[in-house]
Amino acid sequence: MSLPLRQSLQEICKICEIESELISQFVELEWIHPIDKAHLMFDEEDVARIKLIKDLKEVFEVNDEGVEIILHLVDQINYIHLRG
Amino acid sequence: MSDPYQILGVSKTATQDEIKKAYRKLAKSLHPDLNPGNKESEKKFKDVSHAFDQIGTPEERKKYDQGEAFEHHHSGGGGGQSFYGSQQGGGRYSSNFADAFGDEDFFQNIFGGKRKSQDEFNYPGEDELYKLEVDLIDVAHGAEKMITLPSGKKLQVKIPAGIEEGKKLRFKGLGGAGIGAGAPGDAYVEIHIRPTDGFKIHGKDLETELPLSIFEAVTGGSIPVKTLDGQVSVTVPAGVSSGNKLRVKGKGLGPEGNLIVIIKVIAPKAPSEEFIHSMNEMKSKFNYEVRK
Repeated sequence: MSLPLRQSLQEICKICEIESELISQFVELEWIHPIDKAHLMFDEEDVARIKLIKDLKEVFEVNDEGVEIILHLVDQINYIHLRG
Repeated sequence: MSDPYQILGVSKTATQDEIKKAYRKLAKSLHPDLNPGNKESEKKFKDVSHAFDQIGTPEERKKYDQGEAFEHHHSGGGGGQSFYGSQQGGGRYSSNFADAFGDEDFFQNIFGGKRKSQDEFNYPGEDELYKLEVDLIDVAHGAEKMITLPSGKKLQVKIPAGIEEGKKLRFKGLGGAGIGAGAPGDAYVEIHIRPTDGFKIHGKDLETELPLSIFEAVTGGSIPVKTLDGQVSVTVPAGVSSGNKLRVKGKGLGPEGNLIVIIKVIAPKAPSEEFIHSMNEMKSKFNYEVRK
């Protein structure tokens, strides 16, 4: 059985090595849509997206406007891939 | 072990700034989300990320240069699944994108049916998975735990004695609410066993080390051993060596589990001259062959 494991904000901070305030900011900016927004629980998809945002900001030094555009394009590419 | 300087294409005398620049340049061309589906670039990106973790900061670089073992793991795209990977087979973010752009065909492709309007939409609730950390003692004897889910729902979780790490317990109908007339999903609780110092899990058995002095190893005797339920005495036969195993029945996990006691013979750290002299006398009298 493969189900998304739901993890709390504290657990996600440890996994991604990132401050909770930053993750909350990503949620507010709607870059991250937690699997359970009401109780702020995250799954593997959220973790992978947080890591991508972290790489964009820290490694590539992309500013917030740039991150938003890149995420939109990445979602579009993934969507096109899925449509086949 | 691969040389991080070589992987990043920098010299051993490169400045931190040069190392960072080299990493950024490589990461840009190899990042898995910029090369969707390219396994080779994904592997290279992991190597590059690992190399940068090793020498990307002056502290880590100093440790690497001094030959210390590297323990930190990259928390960025290099570790775990890439975002692209997480979206294969219809991820939520790709669905959100389709939703935002009102593409009904997309839902037809992913869910195999035409999307209905909200008032006639019935969809079963999602199954939910939660993690529960339990102590070894609870696994040994079984236990009951009350947990509160983020939704406020309370679950009485019965942990069977001897349950294995990663096992999932199912709670029918206690997952996410269904949409419309859809049935609620199930809740699953995944068991994670909190490590306990001095004990290793081996199936249903527990393993523990029993340090013995040279004298105890030679003469044997009744020696106290720590179990999860407190101390018990085990009879150590004369002439045991490091690695020999003794079994304490019923002191493992669940009714079938045993405690495996692994002998570890310890020599004195700084033997006195008198001790060495006595041992030499013993050696001349009782030496025995150990390497044939």
